[in-house]
Amino acid sequence: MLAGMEQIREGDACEEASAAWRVAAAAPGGDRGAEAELYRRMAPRVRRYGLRHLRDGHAANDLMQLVMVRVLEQLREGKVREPQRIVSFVFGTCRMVLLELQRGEAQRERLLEQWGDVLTVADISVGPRLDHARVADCLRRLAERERSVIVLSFYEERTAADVASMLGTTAGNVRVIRHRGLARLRSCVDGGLQ
Amino acid sequence: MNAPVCLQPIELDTLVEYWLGELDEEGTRRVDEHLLGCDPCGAKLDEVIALGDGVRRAFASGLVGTVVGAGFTERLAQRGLRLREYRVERNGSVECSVGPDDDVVISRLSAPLSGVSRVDLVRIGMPGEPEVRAEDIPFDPASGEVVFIVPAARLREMPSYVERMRLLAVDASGERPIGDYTFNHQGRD
Repeated sequence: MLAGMEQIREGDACEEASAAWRVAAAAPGGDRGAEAELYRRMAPRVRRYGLRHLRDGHAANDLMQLVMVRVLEQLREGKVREPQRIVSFVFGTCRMVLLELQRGEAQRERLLEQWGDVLTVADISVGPRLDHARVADCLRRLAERERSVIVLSFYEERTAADVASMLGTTAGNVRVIRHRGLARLRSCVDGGLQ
Repeated sequence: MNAPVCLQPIELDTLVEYWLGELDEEGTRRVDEHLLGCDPCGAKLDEVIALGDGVRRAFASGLVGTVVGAGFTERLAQRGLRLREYRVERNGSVECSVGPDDDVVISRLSAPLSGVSRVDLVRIGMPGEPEVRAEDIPFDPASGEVVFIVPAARLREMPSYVERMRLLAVDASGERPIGDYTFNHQGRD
């Protein structure tokens, strides 16, 4: 299922590559439009990476800004050898900055002071936020076992193995119940209360 | 402009596993890299994140209750939530209420669960109200109790009333009562 992911979406990646080429080809800071385009496309994805690995919105925002500043800096200075592989370069930068943040080494203030103007050039959209009263209403419509698994999984963000040990069942069973419960919950939240 | 399309989308279950930390290091790396190049799959992950966030806020607001398992209530206390807890012996009753500062109300029903494969929970409401049966509730046979979180915000709005519950053991040969439990709720009236 995961095999071959690197090869897909080549057409779409062209947009990022094109923006990266333009930033690299211009005099430093000479193509603000390309910088804004690259930021607009990549920053929400980097923020998602931050959310997954740091589990905190503020920390994810910090990581997003640090990564994007560093990527733009490297492009401006001509240090990105293959701008057409900008997604891979961003990924490597994400991993590096994540480690620095976890070690408390990232120098956020200095970078933001130097690059604050770039970081404000493009608005980015963050993920949706649901009405929790509606989610509660939909949760109440689930079977007890589904509701239990969904709450235990997402309230503490626990793996199927963890939830299984709490409920005296197997991880496989939890995954089956979670799959069914999530489908019903999404359908209720998306399609109106039934 | 056409919306971007992913030619090899990641399945929703995989994204859930990714978000909850169930993939191994290599699987996580592959999904990380895919998401950095793919907005459609990123949007799907955003849905998972939003649903998880909605579940968390719904539960934390006391709008929804559920049966929970070992260790969960202890961790709620460690997170600083204010808990009110009632333990009811088999065929017993308890006087109960909810305070304005309580975040979570926990009910513990003591029951002999050894050898039981399926438990149903029947709630017998006020006169005239139908029974509500929750089938096949989760439980840990070794714990000797069924633990559930009562939605505190909803309970706070209730008048004084008596709620009766019955646990039933269910198997291929039929069903038998495990225990009856009575909650004498002191409400806001």
